[in-house]
Amino acid sequence: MVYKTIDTHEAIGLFDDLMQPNSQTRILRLLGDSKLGKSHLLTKVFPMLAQQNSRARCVILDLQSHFISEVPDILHAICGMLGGNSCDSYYASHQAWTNRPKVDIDHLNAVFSSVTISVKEPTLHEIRQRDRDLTTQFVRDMSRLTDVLLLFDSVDRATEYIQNWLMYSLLIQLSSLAHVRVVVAGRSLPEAHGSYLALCRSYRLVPVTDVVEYIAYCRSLQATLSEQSIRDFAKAFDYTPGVFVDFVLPHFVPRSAHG
Amino acid sequence: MDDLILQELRATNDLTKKAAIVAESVFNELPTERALVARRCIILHWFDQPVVEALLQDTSLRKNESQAIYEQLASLPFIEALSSGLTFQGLTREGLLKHYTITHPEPELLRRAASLAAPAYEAREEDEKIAAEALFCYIVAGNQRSGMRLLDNLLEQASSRGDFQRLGFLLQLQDEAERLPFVDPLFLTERQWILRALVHRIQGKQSAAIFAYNKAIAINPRNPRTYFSRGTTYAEQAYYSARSTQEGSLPYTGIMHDTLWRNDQVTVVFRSDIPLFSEGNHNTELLLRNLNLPLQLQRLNQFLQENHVPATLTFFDDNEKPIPPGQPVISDASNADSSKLPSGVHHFGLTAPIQTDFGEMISSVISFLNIQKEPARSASDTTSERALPGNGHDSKNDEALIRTIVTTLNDGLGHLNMKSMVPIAFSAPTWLCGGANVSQGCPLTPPMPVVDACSYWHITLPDLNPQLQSMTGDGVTVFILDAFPEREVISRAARYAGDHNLLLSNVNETVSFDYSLMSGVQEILDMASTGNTAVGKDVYGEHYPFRMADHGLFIAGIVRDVAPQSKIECIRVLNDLGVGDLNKAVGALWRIYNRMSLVNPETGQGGDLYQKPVVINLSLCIPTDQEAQQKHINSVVPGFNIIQGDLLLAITSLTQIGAIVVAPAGNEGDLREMGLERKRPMALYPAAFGNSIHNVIAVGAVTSNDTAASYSCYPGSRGIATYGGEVPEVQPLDPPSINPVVTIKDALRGIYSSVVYPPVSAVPADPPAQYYAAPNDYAWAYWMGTSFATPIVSGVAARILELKATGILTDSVHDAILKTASGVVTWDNLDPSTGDPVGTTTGPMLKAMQICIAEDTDGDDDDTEIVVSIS
Repeated sequence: MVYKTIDTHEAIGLFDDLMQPNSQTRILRLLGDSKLGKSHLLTKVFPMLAQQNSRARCVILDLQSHFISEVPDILHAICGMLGGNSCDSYYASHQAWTNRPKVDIDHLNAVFSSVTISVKEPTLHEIRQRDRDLTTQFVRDMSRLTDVLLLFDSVDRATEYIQNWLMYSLLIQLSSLAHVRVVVAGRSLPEAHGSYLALCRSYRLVPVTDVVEYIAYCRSLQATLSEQSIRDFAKAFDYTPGVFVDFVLPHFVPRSAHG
Repeated sequence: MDDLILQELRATNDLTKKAAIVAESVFNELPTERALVARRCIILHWFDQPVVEALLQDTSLRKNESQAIYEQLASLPFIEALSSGLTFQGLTREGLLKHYTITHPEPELLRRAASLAAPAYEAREEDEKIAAEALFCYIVAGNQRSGMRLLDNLLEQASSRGDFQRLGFLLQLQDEAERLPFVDPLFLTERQWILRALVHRIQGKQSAAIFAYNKAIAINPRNPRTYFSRGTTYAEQAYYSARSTQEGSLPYTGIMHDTLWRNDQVTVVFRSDIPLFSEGNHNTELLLRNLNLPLQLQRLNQFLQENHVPATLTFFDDNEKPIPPGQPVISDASNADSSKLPSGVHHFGLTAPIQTDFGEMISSVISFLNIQKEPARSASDTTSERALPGNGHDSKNDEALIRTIVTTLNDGLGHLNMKSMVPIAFSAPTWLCGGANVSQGCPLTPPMPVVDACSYWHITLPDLNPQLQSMTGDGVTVFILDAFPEREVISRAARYAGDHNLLLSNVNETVSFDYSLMSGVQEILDMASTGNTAVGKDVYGEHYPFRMADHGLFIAGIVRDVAPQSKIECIRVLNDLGVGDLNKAVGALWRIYNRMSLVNPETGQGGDLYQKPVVINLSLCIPTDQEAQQKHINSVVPGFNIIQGDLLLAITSLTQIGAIVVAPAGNEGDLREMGLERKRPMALYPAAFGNSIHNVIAVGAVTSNDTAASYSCYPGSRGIATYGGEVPEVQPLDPPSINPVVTIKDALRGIYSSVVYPPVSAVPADPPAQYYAAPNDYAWAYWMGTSFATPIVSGVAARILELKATGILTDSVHDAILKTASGVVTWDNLDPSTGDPVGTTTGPMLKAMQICIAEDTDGDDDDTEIVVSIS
């Protein structure tokens, strides 16, 4: 299957480069406002390209806080998608954490009613310690796998804690693995950490003002729209390709041609 | 259709609205009831087939159609697939929610949808994420009872794990639901409000926390703990608010300030021939009665007025009601007020008198005085060239006014001493002091995080003699005057670090911190008087200000490591930007002096450190003569250098009663800044006092190869050098980069409590470079410079004092410190003013190394790293 896009050549070029075995890039940061095509690239185009052009196992994760709120959620989801024995160390470590003696609930209740945050913090510390430990084990698992592609979407909609963990803990460690590639996407992203800056490329998607791109897209999908209508709609949608597609696809593209 | 939609699209510039128009146009083409189901899904953050099935309930659609409908929804371009179901694309959902709540409100559609979906989610409440969506739906549906019950359960589950992220998420979900215009808020219990307050506090949202505490108090006004917590939150709010104001105004890049003194104070040093102590008596009262400070102040003001200086000097206590210059002078020396020591006035005794041009000084009274500016003079008033527009808030004018006051008083020393009978030694601006030379901008680099897995980085002194090897500083008090993080920050860092940083844990438990001279709020207030001065250098040696509250903590850690049994007392005299003033520094020294005195005049009791061994680590510097000259201040008056004068008197008095003062030579030989033409400067003051005052030790820095560090000032012939590290390698070197790769090969590792690090590069970035998060909680940082070599010597001094107390050691402490040197370091390229004809000399070097003595077995790294690249 081929997913049609509206002017994503540069982003796709960067992705192709990312996926080269000897690429100097291991992390691609994709930025851009809503409906400019980030999610489309991450959830459809990149996985398809990865499947066609490399043997990398591909994992897509949407980090919106409504679906993911904790680090183990993310690592569990990735491990689940990788399947098999990919994450033995992680699972063992997760099991160990799960089986640890639970926090004294009475004590915590007392803490909350006494309204002192200072007493609570060791538990917070424990969560951070857990996350560090699980991340280390997860990266250890990743180091044993062959080519892996991790795609993180909606990073900006993750909690601040998750964003910081991703950019300043997980990516720092993953960037040392030559066979792992990562794409992170969001309307905005935390700055790349210096430790992987040399291995990281950033690309910002912008509105596509070249109408030819819209026309080509419509033609490739046999859309029943005149060239003038395409121009009018592209302009009416402020040259935002995502909204244009949302409109054109259901109304003017034969179902058989839907990507 | 095309034209109609185009018209609608063109009528708005709001992309969310356009996304909603598109979605509606698609819904309109669906069969009516399927379109209803699709619209019902708008309220949901995500949905799966069981939820869609629930949404069919009051339609003619049958359950077995739910799969087809679900698949149809999945095929819509603005609906995205998740691992757990489907979700509306963010912009589309936002637009549709706006449409159905504001533009064309249909609350019943959304309320009904939520009401139908809630039980479908709740049926799977064992999964907290699914149950959370049920909570959202119950609130939207207006089902208070179910909403409350579920909220309680979920909060309970999250709080039992101490999972603040989950708690925050639940509260965010509740807020989101209650923001919908047709949704009534839940009636929360006291406990739920308190939980909310806690979460807000953890998130740093003090206003929201206070609001929540108020709600809790309204429900139960008899819970004293809630009042207490609210009070604490108010204090936090005041602190952070003041701090953020200051940070907001912080210049960020390329700034080299030229402020050398406070613009609201001056210093006047009086001399007295009455000894502070005689025959076991403390003569403070006699000295003060004799001196009659209120009278002297009035005479000084009279003199200023006669010289047309538009300002009046006041004691800090009298700031609100200064004595007008025109009032009759106080002539009664027995006036009760004259025997009191006003705030901001510090007296020190000398064991040997200093002869000045105007008389003997056996006691010094260092007075920090406020200035009150007089109204601006009229244009016709041309009585003095010195008269300056002293009103208003122009800092340049304020600076000039200070210069005028100081110059007038110092030029008039003869008149004041001989005719006005004011025993004034000199006047000076209240100089700024800093973690390094404040006007030059140091420390050498920003701190940078350590990522090695080691729980204890220990400084070894391999060449120290066996006797000193066995000493621990027991019985010795080491004072550290510096910048320090808030106490809570240190404790929190220690808790987070846990076993990953045993040194921080030790410091947290054993070191005392005194913020009374410079509280967080006072720091902010003082900033206005110091032109928001800040110091720092990036990895290229470029000046830029950064927060360095951990400067002193880093030092305390080193002292604790080298002298593990010493009693360490930290006094905050520098703010988080590494800047303080001599009012604070001298005030701290005075407190130490009082505690070392037979009678502590502040308490009236015996000094608790009387005849006890004391080391004072002063990792700070004051401006230079050259800088003062550039600001048109003549630093030399008969008998004194007015930049060094007050510190000289305080330190002389302290060393005369046994204190050992250890200070950094300075980092001003920085090649990055001065280029290859640079000459290695002499030590800065107060370290440079080591050349003339016994028991003041100037400390220079060497690298791990025991060679002179490129940046270190020459500590002088009575100074010593020890390990301080070397400037890190930076790539690219030229041109400077926004995100350079910094390779640290030679730096001390020390404790660091902040959760963020300053940007390593001052190169302007767009957006501006931000402080970055510590990669772990271990609270170890790299830092280098003479500031951090100094505490090694302070620790050794503590060991020597301990040994000396046994009677084994007969050398003076100063000599004993110099004798600990196991090697010689060559100081090259010296400034000719050092007196060495060939620009090279040698000096003693104390070998120090840092090794890991406690591997961090559960750290992230298995291997101990020596070289770490970060940026």
